[in-house]
Amino acid sequence: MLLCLSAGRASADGGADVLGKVDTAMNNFTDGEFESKLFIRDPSGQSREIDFTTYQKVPDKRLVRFSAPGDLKGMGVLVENKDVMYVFLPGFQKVRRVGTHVKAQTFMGSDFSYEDMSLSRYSPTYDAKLVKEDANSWELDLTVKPGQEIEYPHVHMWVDKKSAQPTKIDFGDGSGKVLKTAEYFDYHIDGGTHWGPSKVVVTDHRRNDHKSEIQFVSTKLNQGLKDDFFTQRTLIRGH
Amino acid sequence: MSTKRGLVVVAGLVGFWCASARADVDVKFGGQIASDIRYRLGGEEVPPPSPTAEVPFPSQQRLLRYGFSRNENLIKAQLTLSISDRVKAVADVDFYWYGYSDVNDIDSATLHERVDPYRLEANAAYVDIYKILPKLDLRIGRQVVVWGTGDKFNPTNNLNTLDLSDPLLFGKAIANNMIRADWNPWGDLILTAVWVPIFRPAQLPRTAPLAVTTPNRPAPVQEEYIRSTLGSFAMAMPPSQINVLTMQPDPSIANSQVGVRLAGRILGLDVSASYYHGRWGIPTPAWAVQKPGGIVDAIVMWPRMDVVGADLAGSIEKLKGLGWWIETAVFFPQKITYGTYNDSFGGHDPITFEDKGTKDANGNELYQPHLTAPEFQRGTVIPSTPFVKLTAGMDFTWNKYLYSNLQYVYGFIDEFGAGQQCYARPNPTLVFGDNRCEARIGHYLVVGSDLKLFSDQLLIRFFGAFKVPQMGDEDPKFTAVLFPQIAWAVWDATELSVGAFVFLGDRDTKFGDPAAGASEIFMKARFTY
Repeated sequence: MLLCLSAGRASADGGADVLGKVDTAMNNFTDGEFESKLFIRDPSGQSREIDFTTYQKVPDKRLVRFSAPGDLKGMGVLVENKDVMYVFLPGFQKVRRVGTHVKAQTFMGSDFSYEDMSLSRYSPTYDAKLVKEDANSWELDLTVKPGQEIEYPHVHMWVDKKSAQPTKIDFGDGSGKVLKTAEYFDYHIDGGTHWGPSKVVVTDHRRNDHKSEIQFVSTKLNQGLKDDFFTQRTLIRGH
Repeated sequence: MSTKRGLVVVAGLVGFWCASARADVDVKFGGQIASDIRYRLGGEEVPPPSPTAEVPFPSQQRLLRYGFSRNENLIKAQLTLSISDRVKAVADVDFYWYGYSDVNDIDSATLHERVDPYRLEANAAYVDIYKILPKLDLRIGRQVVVWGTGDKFNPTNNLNTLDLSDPLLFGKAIANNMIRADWNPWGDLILTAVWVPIFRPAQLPRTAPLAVTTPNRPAPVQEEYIRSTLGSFAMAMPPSQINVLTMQPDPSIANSQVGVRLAGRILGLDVSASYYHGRWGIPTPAWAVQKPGGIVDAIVMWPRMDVVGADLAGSIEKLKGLGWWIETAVFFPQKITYGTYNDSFGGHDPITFEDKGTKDANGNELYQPHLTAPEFQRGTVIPSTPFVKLTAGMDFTWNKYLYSNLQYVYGFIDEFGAGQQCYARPNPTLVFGDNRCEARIGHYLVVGSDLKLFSDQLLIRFFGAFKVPQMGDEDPKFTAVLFPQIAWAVWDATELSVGAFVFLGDRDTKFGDPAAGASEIFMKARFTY
């Protein structure tokens, strides 16, 4: 969801086709290293900051390493595929296999869930319907496919035609009520043909419009990360 | 080329090589500043072992029935140095101030280290060398190697002994000097081999001496007849003082520890098998010598053991990703007998027992006691019978606020050996021989939940461990420990927490035993950088 990428111009010949282009744009790289800052904004205006780096290999592999604040420093999360996750807790020097139930938890108390952080393709989970199109954008209605278990069964997505990237996504419940909104800002080319947002802001309407924001500090793409980087061995090394 | 010029050229080449081989050192620094104040509720006072023995350090830190049991400040420093992706050196040191004085005389009142005692604990001091050979990593130095899939209760995890001095740590592993090699031939398959040259005993709680120094505690032997006979002797000659001595393993190659573990993934499940050869970290009584004047010297030792273990972990997607794990180990212990001697009459007379080959009405073996040489049979403290420990658990996140964890534990972290564990029943007066026995390896249910509110800034935690009675336990009794806690993440990396650690049960139960500890309330503040 966060690591979006341009796939150039696309013609809207149906919702599924547009969603496919979005998925392609989001994953149009082999591997990447994304250094990010997560800000969790309190209603009072104060914010907490969490610094982390995500290493990703398309399609599924991810390794997240936290560098700040101090109580999270050294902690790591490894996602080998959608069913296999590990957490490294430096205080115990232990890599622990965790059930995928943790996807229901918030990502470090933010308005992002682990599911948000791990969702890189929408087509396998959602059916898409093109509901509006103009010169610059598409609007898609996504409904969850039968048999899929997901927190947000209904999604409304605004897609920029130029980059084939979502500029705004409303995540809703089964009745269509909007529970959470994600907005993407300042797409720019940050390596080769890759377009990435400078920041993503998520507003959780169930929490009195509580906001969290991810700022991308640096992006390195196609560095040649191998599969054996995404292992427990790397996690315990504290790369 | 003259020799001198040749040396200059060689030196220049070496210098060039060194300069070109030197890579930038990546330095990371971190740590923690923390304060920990606890107040003890109930339990039993732990007096110095004898009027003549050295009092614990610092002397002001006495375990009173009602009093401060901890008044600690911590500065932790962690340093990580990396060179490229091949070498990493890690240091992690805790510097504690006890918060108690040790001022026994006017001289010590003039010394900083006696007025404000402190201690150091190195959690890590190791060097990692990655890919020293293809697919082979090496870690040398003071470190912790944690094995097993269970949550805190890991029967396969024996390379490091445990820090049992603080119940809130629930058995944190103590770092030790060791050499670890990890070979990762392909995929998730990892073969780990560890060698620990010198055994480091577990850190016992301040209440542990009560397990040995309480006069009417039953003799730690399995044979009921021998136990009651030794109890009768103690009743006839009640000890006036019990000194507990230890028999540390020699720092020889024969006493070093080794472990091997093969871990991988099969059908989406994490699987491992392991073997350990070494010692159990908690000492067990092995000798008792009755001396003139009612003085008893008890001697404890750390039994050898071999452990074969296996574990499994996975996630059940049909149950919304429920996490589960099973970890089990078979222990093959060294047999420990109870050598009892009577030196009170000037000699060194063994007290042993001759098996008469008959049984009493309860089916217990009958023995003939012998109070002089030759030696017959000693009581058995740890039989050589293999025994099993097991942890099976599951956890689940109900929603973004609530997490739950449930474990069945067969064999608590401090339990060792087949057979029975006996306690002196609570009596208003000192009574010998009135005991209650139950299986040494017990069944437990460990349940807990975390409720996180306000963007995870407020954590309300409740965990409890409950002993489950089993067949053969005499007069089963309720016993449990409860651990309620509220932690508030005031700001980035800053946490305040209050809570309690509550021991429930009569003094002849697992958690009600005064040697296990006493209930405490605590308040902590922590800043991590």
